[in-house]
Amino acid sequence: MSLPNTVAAEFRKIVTLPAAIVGVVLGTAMTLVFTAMAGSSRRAKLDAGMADDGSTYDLGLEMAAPGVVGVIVTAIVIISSEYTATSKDAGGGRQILVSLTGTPRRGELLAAKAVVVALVSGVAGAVTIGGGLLMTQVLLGRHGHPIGELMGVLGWRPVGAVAYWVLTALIAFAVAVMARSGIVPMVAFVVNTTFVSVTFLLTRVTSLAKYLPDVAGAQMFATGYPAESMVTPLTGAVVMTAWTVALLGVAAGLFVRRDA
Amino acid sequence: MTNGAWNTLAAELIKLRTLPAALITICVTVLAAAAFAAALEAAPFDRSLTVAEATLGSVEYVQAGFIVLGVLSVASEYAGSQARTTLTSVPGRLLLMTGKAGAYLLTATATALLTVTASCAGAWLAASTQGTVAVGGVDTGQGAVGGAEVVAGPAGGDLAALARAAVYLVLIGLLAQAVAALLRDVIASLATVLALVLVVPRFLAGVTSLADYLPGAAGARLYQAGPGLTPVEGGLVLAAWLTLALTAATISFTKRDA
Repeated sequence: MSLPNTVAAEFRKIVTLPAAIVGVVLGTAMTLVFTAMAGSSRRAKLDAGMADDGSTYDLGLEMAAPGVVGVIVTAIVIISSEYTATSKDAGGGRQILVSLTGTPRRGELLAAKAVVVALVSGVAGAVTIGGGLLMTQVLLGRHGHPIGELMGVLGWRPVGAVAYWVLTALIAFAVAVMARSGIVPMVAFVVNTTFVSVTFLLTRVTSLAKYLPDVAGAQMFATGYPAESMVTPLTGAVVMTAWTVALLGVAAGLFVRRDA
Repeated sequence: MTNGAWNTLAAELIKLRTLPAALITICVTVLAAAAFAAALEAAPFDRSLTVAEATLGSVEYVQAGFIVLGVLSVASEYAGSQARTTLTSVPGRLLLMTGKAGAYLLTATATALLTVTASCAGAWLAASTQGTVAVGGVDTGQGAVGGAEVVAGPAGGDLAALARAAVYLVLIGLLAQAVAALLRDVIASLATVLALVLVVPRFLAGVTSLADYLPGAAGARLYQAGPGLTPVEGGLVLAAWLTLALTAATISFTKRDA
């Protein structure tokens, strides 16, 4: 099979995987709903006389970091579902054997999955971030900013937020390929989206933690990150991309050599 | 076939003990607890923490381990046809569910005690290597219990808070067990409970005070003072979540096909 066909097959698979659909749809919908709630509650506060400190520009980006959980779930199940055995009544088989029979070139299969993860998380990220930015400005009412001004102030940061979604999804995917199960990556990545994330805790212990993928990547869109002397947005993008490439490389090395 | 409560409990305990994932979860949870508490103690956010405070701070992270344990204790049966074998041996569904809950509660209680102890040890080690002899106590919501010399070990008020943290860890895993009985799938149950306890609060914070009524936030009031609910209210809200989830799980488990 050629790569476009394999990508099409993987796309068909993800569309028929309920957990993947639930992840993307819930992740996007929840982020938008909570962003809208933040927008209207901010408007009420501004109407009540709170001073605008300029953070109204950022309101649409505030939920970008926790919202990434949805595409993390999707990226994990696209590979962990391959290793889940069906019930004994249905033969007890695993999808991965069928997939590798259909696409014997393992690198191609993994590349196709990575392309699907990147496309799905990119579209979900663009819809969520774009929708969140527009919605907050509308909900802010007279405190909102015109789109041109908003884009001028934010610059590349919305693009950085979408890139953060895509790269985070690819990293979660790479880890799930290594683990061949969904439990470990699911716990690790979800725990890391808590208020005080594990990686943020590490920034307090060692300054090297600023080069961890999510800490560096968050600099692409975050303002007022609660730790000092973080990397610049561009360095953050380079660092997170390097992590993604390296982890995908390790995952591909394992996937090509290991038993299915 | 058995209809004996003790036999069922013993069988479920054997099952849990021979589940490699459960044993790994327990070990990782205990070790991670020590590491998190040590990190919190070594690099506190705005002021230096007592050993007890660093331990309570690590609960936020290690609760994930108890959620995994709760989910595994039920959902692993549905990965194959284990659930039907189990129901053939123990046809009384309510009895089986009680046995499962009992086995989880015993295992989780032991794990929670180990976890809190490991956390204290980690924080104490971090504190003593730094040579900081912080003096103070933990605010348990009923007024600060002060004056405990920390490197000498937690004082009585701290111990009460630590015990309540252990209770919270066991209960949040019980909630996960109930959700797993409803959803019958490891990944789906994990995603649901972890999202409810860890992710949704981050969205809701600052937007609505309803965030205080989520199981994680309400349960946290049991061992840590904070905004929103009092310890008693927090406990009641967590109890309400548990009642809801356990009732739904019981109805579903007794009525549905295996």
